[in-house]
This record gives sequence, structure tokens and C-alpha cells, in this order.
Amino acid sequence: MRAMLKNIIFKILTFAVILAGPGAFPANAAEQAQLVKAYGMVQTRGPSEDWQTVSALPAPLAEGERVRTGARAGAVIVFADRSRVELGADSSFALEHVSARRTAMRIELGRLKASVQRQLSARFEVRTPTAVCFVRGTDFVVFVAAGGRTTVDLLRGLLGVEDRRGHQLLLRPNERLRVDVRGMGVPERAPSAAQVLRQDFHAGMRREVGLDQAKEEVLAAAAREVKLAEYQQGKALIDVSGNRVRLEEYILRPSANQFKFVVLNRRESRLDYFYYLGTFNKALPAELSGVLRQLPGGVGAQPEYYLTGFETGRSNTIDSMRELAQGGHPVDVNNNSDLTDNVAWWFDAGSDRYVEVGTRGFFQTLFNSYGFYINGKLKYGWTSARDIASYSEKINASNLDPITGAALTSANAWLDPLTGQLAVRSVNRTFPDPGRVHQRIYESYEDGSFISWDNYILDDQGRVAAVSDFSGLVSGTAFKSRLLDFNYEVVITASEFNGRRIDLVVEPRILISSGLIQ
Amino acid sequence: MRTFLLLGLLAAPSCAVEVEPLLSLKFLGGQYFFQGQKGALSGNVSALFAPAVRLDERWAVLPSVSGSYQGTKQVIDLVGAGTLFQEQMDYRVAAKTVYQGADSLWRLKGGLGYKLQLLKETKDEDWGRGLFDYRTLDIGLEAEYVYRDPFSLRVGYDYAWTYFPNYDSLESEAAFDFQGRPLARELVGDAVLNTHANMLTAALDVPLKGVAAVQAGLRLMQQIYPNQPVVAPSGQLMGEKRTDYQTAFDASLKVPFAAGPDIRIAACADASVSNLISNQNSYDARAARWLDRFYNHTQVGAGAGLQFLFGDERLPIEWSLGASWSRRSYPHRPIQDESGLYQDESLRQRSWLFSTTLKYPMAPRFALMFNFQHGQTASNQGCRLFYSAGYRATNYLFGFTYDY
Repeated sequence: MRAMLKNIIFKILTFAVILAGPGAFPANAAEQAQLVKAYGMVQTRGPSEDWQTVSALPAPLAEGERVRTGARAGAVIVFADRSRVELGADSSFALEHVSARRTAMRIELGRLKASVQRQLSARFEVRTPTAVCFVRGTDFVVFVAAGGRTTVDLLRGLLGVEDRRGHQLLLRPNERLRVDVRGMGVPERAPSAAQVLRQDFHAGMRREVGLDQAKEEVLAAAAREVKLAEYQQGKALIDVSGNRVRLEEYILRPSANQFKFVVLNRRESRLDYFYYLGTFNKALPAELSGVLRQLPGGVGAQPEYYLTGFETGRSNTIDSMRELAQGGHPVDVNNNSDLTDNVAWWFDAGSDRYVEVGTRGFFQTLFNSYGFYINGKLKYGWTSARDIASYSEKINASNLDPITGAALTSANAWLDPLTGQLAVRSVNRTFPDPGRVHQRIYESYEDGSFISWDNYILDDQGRVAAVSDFSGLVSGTAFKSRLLDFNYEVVITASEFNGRRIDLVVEPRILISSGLIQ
Repeated sequence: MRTFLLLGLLAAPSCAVEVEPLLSLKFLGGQYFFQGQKGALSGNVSALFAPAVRLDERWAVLPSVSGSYQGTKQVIDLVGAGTLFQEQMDYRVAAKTVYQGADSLWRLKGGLGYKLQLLKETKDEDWGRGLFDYRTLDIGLEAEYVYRDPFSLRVGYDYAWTYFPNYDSLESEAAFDFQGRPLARELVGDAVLNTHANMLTAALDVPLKGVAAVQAGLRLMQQIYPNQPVVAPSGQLMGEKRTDYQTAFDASLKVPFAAGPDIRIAACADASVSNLISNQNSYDARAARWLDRFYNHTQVGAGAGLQFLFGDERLPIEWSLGASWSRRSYPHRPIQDESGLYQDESLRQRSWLFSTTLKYPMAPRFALMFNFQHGQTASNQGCRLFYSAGYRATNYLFGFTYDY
């Protein structure tokens, strides 16, 4: 009941303010409004004039005259009744009417603070695109944003506000009202000066946090870029078990006629590596790609560069496997006495494709001696009495090291306890996982020992490729050609490893082009 | 920096110090999809707390601490996008001092920050043991000229030291083979990813006739890799260390307008261009090919977006749509065909990203949020032995946010 009564009183007061009559004002209209203070860029414009920067103060303001302020600028206008209007920065103001009975102004954009002297007979109006404020004896602030959205803060006195739909409301001191094109909202408590300061500080600090986050994102992007390069170069992979594999490959040049290709694999708790050391018939150029293209052999003529020996090593830093071959020399294998070693298709490293040799001669490097060592002891090997013309001439090692010629003992070779000689081996190739490209090469020795090579073909997400990826290509030349499109992981176990393994991810091209994958 | 902060504190008069807390929270859950496969449902959580301290009219100090956990991979995480599984945690502590003299248009700022990112990308990586975990220590100074609040010109310098504690080059770990012979190249570095970065930035906000705003930024960054030797044409390493120079320029235009009494719209468009020049080369040991200026690249990008605000301007419903495109060219990096054979063409990559976000206010500062992103990349690179640059990825997130 009390609230209703107050409401009625305020409405009556509102209309009293609006309908109030004229008062006693000076008769000279030009003296009724004056621009008395201006700082920053402040310009005025009469009804038929151009904008002019205010140069002298005080400057009288006439009806219809407009005032605008720039960034960090402001202006003060006083009226004959000592009412005062302060314009903030970036404001657009127009004096619509000034007389003893009625003062009317318009603010299109920006901030206006008005201190209006109590004159019962005078009417003071501030218009915005969406509201009209009727004033009597009042201090208030009007802020107009884009789209005419108006915020009115009443500091002292009474203030009538009307929206574009004709709704009227009487604001009380310390109340805030928002008005837009939809009409007026509900009065709320206006923030105190301290609260405004705090809100400004809060907004400023929020902005600083945002700027910090933007800078941090630049640095994070730089870190992502570093990581991206590692992925793109294949230095970080994920293996068949979903675990991290790191891979580094590079070339060493131990001497003028040698190069060493090194592959390093790192997992959480292990490091495996592979190297291939090739020794050539002559000094190598700085650019090796031309030399590597000649590694598989030459059609019609012997290649300029050919291997006289090679060495490979595989290790998990505990166990090791080493191959050594010596006495390399080029042989036309298509025109020797052995028909089984004829080459019908040749891997052309220049085009990375297999090409048909036909009836042409094909020069391949054959080695006179070969030794395969596990953990430093000979496991298997062969030799020959002269430069062999065919591997059918090779003689399997039994009691002499094919490389050093030393007599084999249990200290330098894995001898069959029953014979005291190297055990004879047999090789079996299988695909143990149906549907998956997983090849197992199992070398079994007559002394019961074994070496198992489990070869996995991985796609770029670390999963074992499906057989369907190799439809009809599960063996032979086509299989090797298709291998070039994939990543290759080999897991080697051996009876000499005591349960350990060597686990390597190697891209197969170097193995194929160098003849290591037969 | 400590001295700077201390001076700031000492310069403060004895008036009451005011503390204004800032808080942001996000709790989101969602899923990641990659080439038709989907990751598990997981959550993303982030929090930021910054008790801003107003020492007096001129000085303010802004300490902050933030942390986040990301269980759902996002489309923008293009690195290693082939893995559905990725968890990431970020923590950062920072402090900033802001000084603005009475009636001055200048703001001077100094800041110091330390960030820790932990990343689990594979099953065998535990928190703190991720290969690409990194830490960044950064320090910066900025001067801002507020010529027309809130529009300003900012110029700044930042230094950052980023290091990857779990990443050493394998080569540096394997000096000798089992024969006792060298396995690593001479001059090999160990922590090859660590960088010192020096960054100069300038940014300008400009109002356009009261109806639009333009923002433009220029960034010059030098990145020094103190442990990464430059690769010589022979594939061996040189004494010179890798240094990259990046120049980036971006600009955006934002136009807010009202489409009706209850609908406000902000339309924006942006464009960017960046260029990186590096003295580093690469050597493809498999093909025995030296790749000169391997990292040099130029990237251009463009984007557009719309933000809709519906209803009460104090508690509006926000809906935003965005689309962006970028193209990166590596002028000196030849592409390879499917079998890895090098071609004459140089590498180009393109990516598209579409995103939409809906924020529905539940109470002041508290909102429900739904976010959807879809990205595609394409490349003329035929060789996909290790990394596929052509794929599609999608993710969605749903949850709530709180901002104070």
C-alpha cells in the first residue's frame, strides 16, 4: 500500500515536472547558453555553417547549434540560470531550444552530465535517440551508445524519463535506468563513484589478462611449430602397441670411400640402432644420391661406384648383430654360369621403380666372404677361394672365420656342441597373423638355436597394415615395391638374446636399394 | 623484473590497496573424431584466477595463475592429428605491472611468466614424461598509447626461453656403437628443440567512423636454437647454430550493428600473412639428399565470423559462427611421390576450419556453452610415410563457463 502510494506521488511529480510553466530568464537568448570550457578537439557548427574548432571562450551557443568532442576531449556549457552541462569525449550534442521557459538539448552519442538548478517555472529537457529526460533541480548523467542505447544515472533530485513509446517514469536519486528502442527497463541502483572506478579497473585488468593470453598463444604456437617439424620429418612415431617411437636417421662419412647410414630408435626404456657402412671402390663425392642409385647394380655395364665391402650392425645396446662382407666386385650375373641368379627386373633407384632388364647384361656386386655375428661371435658365414662369379660357388664356413680366417672356437663363434663346428641353418618364411602384414623369417640351426625376424608393415598411424593393402602382392618383387609406401618395423629375437629383442623401425627403401631385403 | 615490481610497490603511496579478483572457469566435455574414428568421451577443464591489485591511481599489479586439462583433443591440435588419444595439461603463473601517470595517455607494462605444458600422446607416456612436454619462461615490456579509449597503439618487446626437458637428440645419446666406433656426427647437439625467442610487437586499434573497428598487428620474432647445428650439404653438421626469423602481420575488421530491438550482430573479417626464414637445412639420409632452407615458409590466411546477441543485453544469448582458411607454402621443400621419390614441385598445405559456439546465460556470469569445430587439411605431398597432411577432424564440447 505504501509502495503504491509512493508510486502515485512520483507519477504526479513526474507530470508536474513535465507540465511545469515558464520561469524568469534573461530575455537575450544568445546569452542564455555559453560554451565556457573546452579541452581537446571541440568543434561547433551553426545551422548553416561548417564545423569550426572552438578558438575563443566563452563562446555563445545559439539555438540549433551543435557541439562535438573528440577523443579524450570535453566541454562545459552553462546556462543563464547557472545550470551546467558537461560533455564527455566522443560526444555529439545539439542545443535545440533555449528560452526562459524551456531549455531543450539532444545528445546523439557520448556522455552528458547535467547539473540543473531548481526552477519551478522552467523546463529542462535532454533528448537521446531513445529517451527524453525532463529535469528540475537535478544532477544526472546520460550516456548514449551506438544504436541510441541510453543509460541515465540520477545523482540528485528528481528526473522524469520518457521513452519513444510514451512510457514515463520518475527516477529517484542514485537510480539508473536503461532505455533503448524497445523502451525503458526497470530502474536499478546506480553504481557509486567508487563502484564505477572498480568496474573500470576490473575491465582494464580483464583486458590485460586477454592481452597476456594472446601473447602466450603466440609462444605456444611457436612450440607447436617445433613439434610439427619433428612429426613431419618422421622423428616421432607411434608403434604397433601405441607406444612412442623416436627415429633419427643420418649419414656419416668415416673415410673418403665410405658412408655410414645410421638409424636410431628410442622408446621409453630402450634404444635400438641400425647402421649400414658401405666401402666403395673409389672416393665418394659430397653428393651421395648418385652413388646410392648405383648400389643395386648396373644394366649393360658395371657401375662407376660399387661396393668392395659392407657392414651392418643392429643393437639394443646389450645385444648386437653384425654382418660383414668383403671382396666385393661387379659380376655380370646374367651372363655367368649360374642361371638361377639372373636378374629380370631391376630396382631403378633413380625412378624408385622396378624396371625390366630383358636380355641385357646386369652387373651386380658379389662378395667373396660374408660373416654374420651375434654378440661378437660368428653365427653363420661363407667364403670362397677366388673372386666368385656366382654365389653358387660360395663355401659355407664351418671351422674358420670367413673374414679373419681365424680358427673357430667357443670364444669367437656359436659352435654346435655336438660337432664343434658352426651349425647348419635352414630358413622358413611365414605370415603368422591372418589378415595382417606380418612376415616372420625364422632361421633354425641344427644345434637348436634360432633367429626370428618379425617384419611388420605399419601405416602412418602405427597400425599393422592389412593384407588387403597388399592384395595379391604378398611376396616377390611386387611386395618389395609396395613396401616402399610403408614404414617397416622389425623385431628380432634370438636364442642368444636370453629373452631380449632388437626392435627397429626402419624405412625400407635403404634396405631394398642396397639389397639388404632380398 | 623483480626490481621493477619492487619499485612499483615502493612507489605506491600509503593509501588503501584495493584487490579486484578476476576469475574464469570452464567445465566442458566432448569427443574428437578423426577420419571416421572417434575418441572416447572426455572432458576439458580450465581455470584462471587473477587478483588484480590497485596500488594507487597510477600503479596496478596483476598476478595470475591458470591451469587447464584437455582430455578431448581439438581440431586445432593439428600436430599428430592421426592419434585419437591425447591428454594435455597447462599451468602458468604470471605477474604484470601496469603504470599510468595522472592524465597521461601512456600505459607502461612489465610482465613475467612461467608456463608448464604436459602432454601425453601415447600409452607409454606418463605425466611429466611426455616427449614434447615443455616449459616457457617469458619476460616482456610494453608501452601502450591510449589515444582514444579503448583504442590504442601498443608496442612491446618479449623474451622467451622455451625448453623441452624430455627431448634430447638420440644422436647425442648414442656416441659409439657396440664396436666402440663413432655412431654420432661431430658437433651433434643434445637439447636441439630448446629456443631463445626475441619478439617485437606492434598493434593498433582504430575506430572507423564510429561504426567499425580495425585492429592490425605486426610481429617480428627471432628464434635461436643454441643446441641445433646447421646441416651442411654433405649431411654433416656445422658449427653455426640454427636461427629463424619470423615476420607476421594480421588485420581484422569488426562491424557491430543492430538487426532489431532484440538482435545485435557483430560481423568480423580478418586476414594474416607470415613468413619464416631459417638458416637451417635438412638432410634426407634415406635418399641422401640435402634439402636447402628446409624450414622457410610463407603462410596466408583469411577468416570471417558472425556473432549474434539475442535478448537482454546484460544477459544475452550468444551465438557465433566462424570460418577460416589458410595456405602455407614451403618454397624450398620439394614434395615426394607416394614412394618417397622427390618431385620438382614444392610443398603446399591448405587448411579450413569451421566453428560455431552457443552460449546460453543461466545467471549473471554463468553460461551453458556448446562448441563444434570441423577442420580439413590438404597437401600436395604424396609421401605419407610418417605424417599425413591431408585429413578431416571434428570435435564437439559441451559444458558451462563462469567469468567474473
